[in-house]
Amino acid sequence: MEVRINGNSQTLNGPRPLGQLLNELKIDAKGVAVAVNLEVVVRSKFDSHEIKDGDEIEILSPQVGG
Amino acid sequence: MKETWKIGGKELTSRFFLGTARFPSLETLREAIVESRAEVITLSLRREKTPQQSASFAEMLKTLPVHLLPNTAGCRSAKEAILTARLARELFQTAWIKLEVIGDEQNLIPDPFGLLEAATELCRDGFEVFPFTTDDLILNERLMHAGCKILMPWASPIGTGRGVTRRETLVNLRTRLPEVNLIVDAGLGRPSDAALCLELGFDGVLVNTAVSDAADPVKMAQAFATAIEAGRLGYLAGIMESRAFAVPSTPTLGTPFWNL
Repeated sequence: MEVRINGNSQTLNGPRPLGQLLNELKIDAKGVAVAVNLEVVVRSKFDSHEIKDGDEIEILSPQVGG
Repeated sequence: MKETWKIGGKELTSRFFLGTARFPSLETLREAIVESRAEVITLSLRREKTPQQSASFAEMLKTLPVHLLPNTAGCRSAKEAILTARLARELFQTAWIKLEVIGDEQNLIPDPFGLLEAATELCRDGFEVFPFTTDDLILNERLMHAGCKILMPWASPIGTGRGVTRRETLVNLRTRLPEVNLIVDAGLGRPSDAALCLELGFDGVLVNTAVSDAADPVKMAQAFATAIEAGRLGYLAGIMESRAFAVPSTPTLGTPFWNL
């Protein structure tokens, strides 16, 4: 299945929980905020929210800013 | 004892909010924050550059006694800004949000309509909104009525360093909106710009480029901190009214050679 992560297409071999995807990407779940299809997924739901075919995922972390 | 003041449910000593962008290195940023004595810093959410860079910045933040004010920089619509604010709340565990909805890419002027729409929604959603706005009185009044208890009018466009270009308009804002926190944000270039804002009765200033782009950002952070304290002290001391004509400061009584 195809998803987009931070604007880049990625092929996954099937649906999975968001928490598992972050793990596979070696991203510390505590250090990011995630939106799927323009909806915020709260951290407590990372392990229950399923990533599906066609999902647009934004994974954001703290950066400098004015 | 140092004066304290309240904003967004917090009590602060410093009236200096410092932006964290554009510094030449993380270490310079850290030193500048320390020298600034700022208790509020702004930051953003972005797609991760590298996990190491994000982790370093996040780790540095944990070592500093500052309140985080995440921004919605780069958002061009209310929808984008609202989503970014909600993501910021989730990531930083704060209800504070510096709300930016930009209407023009060249001069980064706020989009007043998108800003008001986003502020209304976010205030309703329990955020403490710090809207980056213009000096337009009507827009600022509408933001207040939407629930904003803090307003951040610009001095001049972001990053220009032009200072306060419309002094009387800012003075009018301060006079007409005495009950809200007013923080001048954007366009300040030199410490005297910040001192002026405090002398005019504004509650604080937010500065980024003037510090980060200085030849010595750490020294400049210290300069701004000093200027902000001087401006506030001058305001509290009661600045004299300017006059159209000269008034001698030396007593005229007893002037020698009076009748020559």
